[in-house]
Amino acid sequence: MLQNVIIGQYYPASSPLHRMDSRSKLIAAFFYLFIVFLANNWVTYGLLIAFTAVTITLSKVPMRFLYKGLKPILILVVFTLFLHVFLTKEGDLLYKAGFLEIYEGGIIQGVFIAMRLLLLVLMTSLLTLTTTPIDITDGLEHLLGPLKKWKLPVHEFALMMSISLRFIPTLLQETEKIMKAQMARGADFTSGPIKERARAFVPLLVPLFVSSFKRAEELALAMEARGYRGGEGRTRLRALEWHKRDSFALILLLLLTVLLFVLRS
Amino acid sequence: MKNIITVKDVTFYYPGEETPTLKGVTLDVHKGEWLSIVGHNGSGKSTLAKMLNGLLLPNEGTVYVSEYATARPEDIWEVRRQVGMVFQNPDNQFVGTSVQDDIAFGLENFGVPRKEMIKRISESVERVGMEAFLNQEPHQLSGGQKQRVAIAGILAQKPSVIVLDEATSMLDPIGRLEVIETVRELNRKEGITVISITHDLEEALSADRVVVMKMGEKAAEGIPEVIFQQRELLKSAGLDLPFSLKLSEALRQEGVELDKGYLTQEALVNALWKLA
Repeated sequence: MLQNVIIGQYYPASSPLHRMDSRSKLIAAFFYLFIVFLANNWVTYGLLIAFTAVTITLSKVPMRFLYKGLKPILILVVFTLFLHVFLTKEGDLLYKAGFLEIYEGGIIQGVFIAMRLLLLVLMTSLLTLTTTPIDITDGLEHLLGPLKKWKLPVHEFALMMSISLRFIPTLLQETEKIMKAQMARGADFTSGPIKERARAFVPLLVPLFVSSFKRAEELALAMEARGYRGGEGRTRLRALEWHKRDSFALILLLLLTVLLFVLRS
Repeated sequence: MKNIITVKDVTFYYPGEETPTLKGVTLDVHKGEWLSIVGHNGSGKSTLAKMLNGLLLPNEGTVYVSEYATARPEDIWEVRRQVGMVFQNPDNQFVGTSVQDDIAFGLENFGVPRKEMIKRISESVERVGMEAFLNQEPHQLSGGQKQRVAIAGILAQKPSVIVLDEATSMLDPIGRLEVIETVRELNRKEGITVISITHDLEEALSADRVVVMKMGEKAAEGIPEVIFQQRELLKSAGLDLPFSLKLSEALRQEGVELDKGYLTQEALVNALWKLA
């Protein structure tokens, strides 16, 4: 079962969004985080929703994948919606039952804030759905590159990320192996009260930790044997290519920003 | 014959230890040969291997790879480019997220331009027969395949020596054969020097020369046919004799008239069916 584990939530497909450079996607997603807050009336929210809907369609990611990413946050969205509906006292009074008062402003505010949250989560999960983790790492390394001037270990950080990504399946396989070995000796991971179950995981985690340390040591030695000496003077096999469509996407986003500025009240 | 590696009077202590792990070891590795270094756990054979590309530096004595000294900081990268190393655990030396990324790792370290990298990667995967796996991730590969990728990573750096540091000990018999066959091809066809560190005497049988390590010292050195007749020496070094040799000894004791101990199964069978 662990043979085909998918790291992160990448959805493999060939879409304009998948083909975009990870740098432009990162910039766009980051930028979007800010411009979402510009919307403050129906027109601007409508515009953002339309933009997001088009992006989702372009990405060819099926709705159920998006929904899977949204599920954990949905409770929060509903909660904020009700919080505003019940607590914001603006505009006309619509309904009154005992101490419960619902105002028009509350409903509008609630819908807006919930919308804002949904849009934010949708766009950021689109980033991880259409970009492999290793591409995101590469993109981040390039974008943060200038920070090396201030002695920020950007290369080391990126290498750390990519090594972690590479070892996730390996460690999962190992966990499974240790688990089976412990189960063969009568360990029980699946029943009993939570406290018992948590305790059952100790004999699983200890060997896993010990072997991870050993792995790290051996990997460091192997890297050194292959001439690793830090990021200085290193060339790269993975090349990021900035195409016209990347510039186009960013310009589109800028236009959207201008429109939002014009149309917001 | 020309030396590719010259180890001279090397003594080495691990920090904080009283007894040296290597005691005055002197060793010549000839260009293009297959040298096996055999020994029990703790005989110092793996430490010796790590001396050969400067992962460890001797406390006394010198190690030269052609004219480059491992102890000279300005030479160390050339030494590591020339002497590639395949380690025991296939997983713990796979750095990249895919086969081609892993082969590229060494090239990236040496600042090889991207275009040249792509060329060398496709060349070297072909030489180890892994061209169909370029985009595979490590957890989709068998141990033997991972070790072949490690060899491809070394080949891409255009090395003169490949050191196998117990590289087959964690593999199943098929994986072991895969790796040994791959390396043998490279040794025969391309003249790449191979140093295999092992405690498996069967593997040492195919070597041109064998060095026996015992308690941090070189106990013997010579061609396999001679070394493997010295049973007492091998036993005292904690090594298990190859199966066909043990079998011929046992047969001799049972009164079968064999004139000597045979090293390979083939030689033993040939001798046996000729018996009257």
